[in-house]
Amino acid sequence: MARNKARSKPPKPFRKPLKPKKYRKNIEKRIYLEPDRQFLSEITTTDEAGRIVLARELTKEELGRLKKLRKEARKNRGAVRTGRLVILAVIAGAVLVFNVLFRDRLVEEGAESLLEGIFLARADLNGVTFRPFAGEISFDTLTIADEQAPMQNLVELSSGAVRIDTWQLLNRRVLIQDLAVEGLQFGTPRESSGALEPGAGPRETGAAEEERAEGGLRDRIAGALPGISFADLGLPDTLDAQAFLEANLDALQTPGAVDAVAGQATVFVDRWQAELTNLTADVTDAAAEIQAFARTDFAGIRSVDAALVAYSDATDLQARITGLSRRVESRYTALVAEATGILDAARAIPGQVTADYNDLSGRIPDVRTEGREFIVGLVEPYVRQALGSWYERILRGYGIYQRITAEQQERPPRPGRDPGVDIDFARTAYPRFLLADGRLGVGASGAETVAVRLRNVTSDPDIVDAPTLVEYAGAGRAGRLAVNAVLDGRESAAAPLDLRVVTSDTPLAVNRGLEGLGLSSVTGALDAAAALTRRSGGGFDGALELVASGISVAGDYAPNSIGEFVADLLSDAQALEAAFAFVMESANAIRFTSGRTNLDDLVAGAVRERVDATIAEFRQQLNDRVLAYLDPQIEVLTAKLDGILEIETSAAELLALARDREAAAAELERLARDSISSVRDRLEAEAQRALDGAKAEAEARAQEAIDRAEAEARQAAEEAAGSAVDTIRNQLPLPPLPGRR
Amino acid sequence: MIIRFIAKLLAVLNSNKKPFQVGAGIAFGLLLALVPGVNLTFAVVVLVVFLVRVHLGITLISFALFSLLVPAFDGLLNDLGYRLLTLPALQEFFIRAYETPVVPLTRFNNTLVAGSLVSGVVLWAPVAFLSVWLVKLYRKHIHARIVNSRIVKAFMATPFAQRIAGAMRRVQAVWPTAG
Repeated sequence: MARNKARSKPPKPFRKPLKPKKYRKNIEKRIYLEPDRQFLSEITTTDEAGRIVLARELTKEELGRLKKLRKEARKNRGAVRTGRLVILAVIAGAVLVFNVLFRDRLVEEGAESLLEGIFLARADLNGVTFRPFAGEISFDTLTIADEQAPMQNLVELSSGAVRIDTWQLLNRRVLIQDLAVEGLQFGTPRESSGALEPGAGPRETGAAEEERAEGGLRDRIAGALPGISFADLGLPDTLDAQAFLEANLDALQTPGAVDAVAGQATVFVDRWQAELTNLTADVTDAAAEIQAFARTDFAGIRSVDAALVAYSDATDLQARITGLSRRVESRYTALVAEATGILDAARAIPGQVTADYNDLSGRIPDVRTEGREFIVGLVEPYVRQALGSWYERILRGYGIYQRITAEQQERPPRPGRDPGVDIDFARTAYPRFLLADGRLGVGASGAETVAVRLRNVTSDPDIVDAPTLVEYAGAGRAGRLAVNAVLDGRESAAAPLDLRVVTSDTPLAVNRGLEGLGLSSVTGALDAAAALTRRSGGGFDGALELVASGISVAGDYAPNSIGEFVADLLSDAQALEAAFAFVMESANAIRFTSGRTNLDDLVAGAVRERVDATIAEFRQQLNDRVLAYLDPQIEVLTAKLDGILEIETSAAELLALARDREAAAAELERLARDSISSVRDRLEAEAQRALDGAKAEAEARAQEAIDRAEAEARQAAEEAAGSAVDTIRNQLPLPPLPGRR
Repeated sequence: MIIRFIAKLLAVLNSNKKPFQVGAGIAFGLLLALVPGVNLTFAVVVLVVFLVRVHLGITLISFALFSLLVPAFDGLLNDLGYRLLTLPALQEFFIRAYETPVVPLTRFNNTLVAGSLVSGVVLWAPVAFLSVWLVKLYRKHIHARIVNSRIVKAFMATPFAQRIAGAMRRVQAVWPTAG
């Protein structure tokens, strides 16, 4: 009954009389349908006090309708949904309060989760203080377990503080103005396992894990490293000289040269033998003629005619012998020239043999140059194995860096919409990521010190307009290490990367991976300085200086093995020094541009000594094989050359004979000429005497006539002169002389 | 579900809902359709819609319908946004706004966002009041004519319409009680 009565009650505002103003404001103005308004008018009336009351008892349907209208009127109140606003405010307040109270814990958990994702091991962060508006976050301790050895920490930090630009964080920019981390320690022990998988089985002891890790590492190294063999060092696959000779027979020039000389020699002998025979016959005939002419009695020649006849015969003989001699000499010259050519070609054969040998030797790869490729290939597995999981972490970190620095793709406004144009109003350009100054402090133990400083680490170096500087300085039992890197990502950067690494007093201890050499350990101290500069055009220029001293080698190696060689080399050296400059155009193309090292002298010398011994033996074998191969041909050639020499000798003798005969002919001619001269001289003397007698007689007679004529002429002249004086005196009286007055 | 949603929307047109809630819902739907992409501007408009007493169903259907039409005007909106963003008098304001934290998340510097936002804000009031007028007009004159027309009566006699009417009755006993 009570329930029925409650149901029959009108809704709340209508249970009491309503003020007209309130009725209109809360009910009437919020009802917009005319039938409903009419309904309200029908069921309401004004009482004596002027208030709005129900006009009558409502039916059940009317009550239901009135309730519905009341609900609708309530829903139409106000422009703001105050309920939702309150809920929103409560939620915002709750979030704010929760953030204030649990903010630090949230940051802790978020950071731990992030670090565990990166390092694949448990990370614990404690004492976090986060001031979001100030952009400051600090922590007391941070430990990150070692994935490989869960019972020790990979990294432990005693404190850390970061100051970051929070507002720029909201603009998707990470600007870290200051980052300082102190108390860095590596390998500190853990009380509990740092493995992320709790159900991985019983926790192993550190020693057992280390042993297992070492075994695995050894296995990995054994699997990763190539075997050491002469073939790996670039030497020929075989050291069989005969096989090597046969494999490279096509490259030999000597057999062809020997065949050519032998052919020329055969033709030479055949041709010149016939020609010399003919010349010999001619010379023999000439000798017979000379002998016949020599039998002439030149002293018995008394007449001019006989002398002239002998002289003419001698001259003719001389001319024939001279022509023959010249022909012999000419042919001899031709023979010598041809023989000289053949002999020169024959003399060149040893040189050709040497050239062939050098060519074959040149086909033996030089371990001192091509071995470097092998060494480069050898280093990478060591680096990968030495870094272990850090290799992957570095790659992952590089991937993160690439993602950070990569240009973020703007999400398109909405499918089908024009993307519009973003107008840049930025007065100040901000990078998406910047670590302005970061410092990493030393470990707490004090035995080892590490200091790292990073400046201007950014995703947008052109905006920051400064290169990234990385400074690392570490000192400890394992020596000292200093790294200075300048990473210049600006487009105008001349050198995008300039890296300097210096280590000193670093213990050198290699005790793994040497089993193949029969060595158990190599120990010493190592100083190293490396520089690597990346050019803006691509590629790297690098330099590396290494000094290893106090090296001692232990092991059980076989005599005459590579292990013994390595042991001797390293033990004998006072210090191994090396300075290389190299150019690296790509990851697999490293070219050494210079090298200054006693490592070269020692290693290369020792390698050369060993290899040269092997090569010398090989060369000796090769030489023997070559000679054995060529000797038969050369013997044939020598026999043919002997024929050439005989012919040449015969020709020389013939030439001498011809010259002798020519001399004899000349002597005969001289005798004939002397005979003729004797006859002529005698005849001329007789004639001269007769001529002189006649001349003297003629001169005497002429003198006598001259004397007589002169006497007669003088007398006649005197007579004529006396006569003429008398005539003149007669015809012309002379005046008295002045002195005579 | 769809029938129920449509029935509710039809019921809204002839209900005691404040006409302005319907009109504002339509105007906000237009504004949401105009603002491109998911950015802080869109989020702010959604928050306003969430807090202001407007009919969300009407807003959603308005948003859906206007979203089909708005891309055709992107060119005009881009031009408008570009002219606005390049007004010399407003440069200092835009620069300050751009360097103010959070504000760039609104992407106001995008020509389409700026043009759309300004257009939406300018059109909001006319669209809202026009919608109010139309709703009132519908409720006062059109609704009764439609309900009493022979075509509607014949249609309502069909099984399909009966099913719709049944669905509507189940959710809201409004239609066609007015007759």
